[in-house]
Amino acid sequence: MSAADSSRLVARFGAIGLLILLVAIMAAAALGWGFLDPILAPLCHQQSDRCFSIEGNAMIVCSRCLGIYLGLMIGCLAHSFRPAFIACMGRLLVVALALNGGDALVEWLGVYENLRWLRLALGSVLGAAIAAFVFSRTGKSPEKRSFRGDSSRS
Amino acid sequence: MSEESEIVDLDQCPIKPAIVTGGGIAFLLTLFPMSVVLCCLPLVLGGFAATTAFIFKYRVRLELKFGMKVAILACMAGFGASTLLYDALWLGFDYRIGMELQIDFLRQMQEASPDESTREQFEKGIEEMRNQTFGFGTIVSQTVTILICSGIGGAIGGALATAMFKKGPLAQ
Repeated sequence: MSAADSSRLVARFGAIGLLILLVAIMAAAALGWGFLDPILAPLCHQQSDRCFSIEGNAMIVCSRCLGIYLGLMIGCLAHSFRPAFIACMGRLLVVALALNGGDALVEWLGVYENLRWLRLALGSVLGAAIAAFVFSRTGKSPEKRSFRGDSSRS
Repeated sequence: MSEESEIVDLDQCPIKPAIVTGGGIAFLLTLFPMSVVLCCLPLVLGGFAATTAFIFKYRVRLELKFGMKVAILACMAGFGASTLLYDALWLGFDYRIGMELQIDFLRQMQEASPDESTREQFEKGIEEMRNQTFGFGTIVSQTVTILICSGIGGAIGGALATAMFKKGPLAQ
């Protein structure tokens, strides 16, 4: 199996796994399944005022984490169906990290308070940027890279 | 022909040193009582360290799935070890690492929250934490937590390290 095929396989399984995770998060809130709370506790602070709620029950992850998982899932889906290799993904990832860090800092300074939809959006951008960075750097087979380099020198 | 055409046999590259490195970092960070405020970073860092250690030790480039596998295994080892230590102290000495610190932190969040229903949920959570007893349900819950959280955090950390560092020929 080539590196490119391996990468697409990871993207497909990643998309399925993340979809199951997101459905479980929403089902836990909709149906009031409290037993799922401790399972994701190591990955998120789970403060209820920073989480979206369904039927009056807060989700078991905060809006930023929900956005990250959503962005990762979208990135995995995109790569599994239509791989695209973006050259400057490293810089875009740094920008996405800076936006999320900046949002946390600005909120801590008191400029605004608890904008869940903004955190969801920024988290989604970060998740998608992580997926795009990883698949852009690992989704090409090495034979293709060598071929391009050789032809430019001839 | 460039070294990119070489394939390194992974059977010649034991993963134990990488698991020890990444697992050690995951162990220390997950044992730290307030690591929950760092969200998934402790496990992402542990997984990142494991895959990075493997790549630099053998000077190779990895396939994505192998890089993620090394990271997930390291996170499971580290997080599992810190959970075992936590349970051993709980059962042996009735001491739960970081519990009082965590309750103080939750009380501060409770006092700072403007919403009455959120304050009640904090109180409920604190009571549940104090009254929790160790049993079969706790073991099952902790096992599932280790598997899922290590899977998520390790996969992200391992994927990032695999994408960032390419030190030589492909290892398969």
